[in-house]
Amino acid sequence: MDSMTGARATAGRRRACGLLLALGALCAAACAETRDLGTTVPRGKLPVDARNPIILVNDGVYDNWQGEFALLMANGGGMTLAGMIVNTGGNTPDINANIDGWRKLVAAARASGMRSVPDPITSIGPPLTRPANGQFASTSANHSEGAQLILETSSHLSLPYRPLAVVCGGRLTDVADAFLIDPTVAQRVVVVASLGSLTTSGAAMGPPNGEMDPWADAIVTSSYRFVQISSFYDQLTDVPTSQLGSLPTNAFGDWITMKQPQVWNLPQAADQVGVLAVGVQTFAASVEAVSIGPLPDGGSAAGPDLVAQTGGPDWLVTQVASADSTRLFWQLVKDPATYGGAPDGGP
Amino acid sequence: MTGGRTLPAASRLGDRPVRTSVAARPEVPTRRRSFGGVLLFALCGWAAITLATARPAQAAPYAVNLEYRAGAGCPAAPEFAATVQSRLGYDPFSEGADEKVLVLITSRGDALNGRVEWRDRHGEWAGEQAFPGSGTDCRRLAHAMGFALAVQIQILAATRLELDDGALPLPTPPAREPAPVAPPPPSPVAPAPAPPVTIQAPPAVPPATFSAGPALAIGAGAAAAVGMSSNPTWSGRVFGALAWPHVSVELGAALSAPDITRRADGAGYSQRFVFLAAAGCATLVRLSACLLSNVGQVRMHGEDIDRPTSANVPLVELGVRAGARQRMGRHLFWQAHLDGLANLNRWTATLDRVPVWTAPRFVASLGVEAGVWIP
Repeated sequence: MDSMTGARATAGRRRACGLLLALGALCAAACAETRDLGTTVPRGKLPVDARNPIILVNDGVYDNWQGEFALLMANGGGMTLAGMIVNTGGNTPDINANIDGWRKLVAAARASGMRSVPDPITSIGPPLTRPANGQFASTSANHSEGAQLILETSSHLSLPYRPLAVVCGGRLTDVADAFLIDPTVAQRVVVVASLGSLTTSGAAMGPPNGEMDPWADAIVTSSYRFVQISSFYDQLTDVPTSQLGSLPTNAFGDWITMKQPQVWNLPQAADQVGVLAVGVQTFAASVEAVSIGPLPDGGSAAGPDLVAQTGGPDWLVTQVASADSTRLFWQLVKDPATYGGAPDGGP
Repeated sequence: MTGGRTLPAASRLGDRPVRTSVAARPEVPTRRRSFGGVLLFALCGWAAITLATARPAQAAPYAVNLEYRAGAGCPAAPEFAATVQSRLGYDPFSEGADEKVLVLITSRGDALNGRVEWRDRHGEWAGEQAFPGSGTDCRRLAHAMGFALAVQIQILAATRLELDDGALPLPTPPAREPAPVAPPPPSPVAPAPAPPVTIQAPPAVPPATFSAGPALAIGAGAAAAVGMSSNPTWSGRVFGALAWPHVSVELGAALSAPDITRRADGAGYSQRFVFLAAAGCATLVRLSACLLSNVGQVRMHGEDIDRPTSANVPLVELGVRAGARQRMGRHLFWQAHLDGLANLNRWTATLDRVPVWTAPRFVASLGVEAGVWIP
């Protein structure tokens, strides 16, 4: 009798252990499922929009309104301006003069109350040289300050669904330099360049801006997601003399008043088209998919041609609509909220 | 003054089935018990409820049929009964009571002997207390016996409460050996034995009686869970339970409030749960330990993103529950429980193919519910 009782107890213990083991195995073998619940779609026709953080790259500050638009949209339009890189160009070869101008712009913006105003940095580096073997990896990098800023900022701010937009109003040297230092940067950055001109087959990467570093053009177009804006507008219509009196009576208004006569009467100088293409959904009115033509040789004066091609990996803006952007400029420049005050119509 | 004493066993006196089911428990004063660290959190809420609803201890409606025999010079039956009543604060004597107590005062020579003898519902001896050789002052002896009887009634009433509540072990069974004083030959002080006197009192309210089958309860409540989302989630629950004295089974259904998890840019997704829960519990007084399983669905939907989509994943959880229950009146009760569960089907929610949140391996849930026992 006792032995039977003992056997039953042993069997019970075995069953309990078996149950525990089964439960443990069940936990260990637990399933895992993944469900995607939504997708971010860029607003507009380009792969970036106003929600993407941006870095400006340019040389001089006085030839267009690129800096002003960027600061206004960063302080009143919800854009994230993560940095400003100042280098040199053919018409603006003096880095000291260039950075001095940008610092004055920044000082005026801050004095008027703007808060999202990053310090501009200088980036020293000559145009890149095509190596004899024609391989990107063999190119000597400048390791410029601008390239470093792009690398660091893209690491911090870029997200798979929201890459950093590097908006260039000059040569593409710093962007190509960043790729030479760390090729993975191309996964975190979209390059938006006001550059080149339209052709019958697509666009050429020549003047403006494209002619200053053809090998950098080749590296950038081949490596990054690339948007070329080769359509411009009359930037003198942004701030006509007749409307200077409508500017706010603050340091930023004074800066615009001082700069307005110096802005170039040349549509191709309107580097703000890059900022507007990112920040204003309707600005890039016509966009074509393009692919890269043959890479330039060592003596070329322009980057590779962009050839219109359905399903091409890059974007070419062939037409812009400036009316909305000019309206946005005046809305933001006159809105007290841009300078940290109560918005128009607010308390 | 006190002699050998054997208190009757409440079980014998009562001779009624003892139910430990919560449904069968009358209201009792607050009693604190430790159930281990894992219950601490749940018990805090339960304790708060208990404290808020606890009532001062009251005399139970315990009743006994009194038979009083004493000779001349002794107090009359009503006077003796009044002595007991004054001690207790209520009248415990009822002709209709099952248990009977015989109070007998006899004389042997110059000495008076007293005896309080308890008999169960079948009239069988259940215990007694003797007061041997207590002098000649019968009023004094009767007073002492009345005091002793009041104490015994108090003890029995309290024991009965605890038995009905199932909170305490049964008292020690009465000794089968007779009390020190054997029933003496009748030699009353008075020339003739006084006829038995039965004190009639207003009928006491009898304790509730219950059927032997399982008790059915239904209820509803709310629970807070961690591990079901990036934030604590709240859910509402309805349940039904079948309870036996030491075992119960419970089925429930729960629906959570939507909870939104967002990433840095404000895009996110909402999720809510709907599931059925089944639990099998072992109960000990107010406390229970259960094996628990939840089976249902996680319903998710993208929020504040350009192209939101929806998706469902199965919810399968297995774990344990520690619970506590507090009766509120005759049929109502509160209960609190702490659940520890393992997610057998872990899910990851992504936006733009980037993971936003992954369900952890383990989930904890704290629930508070109200219910009613259905007679």
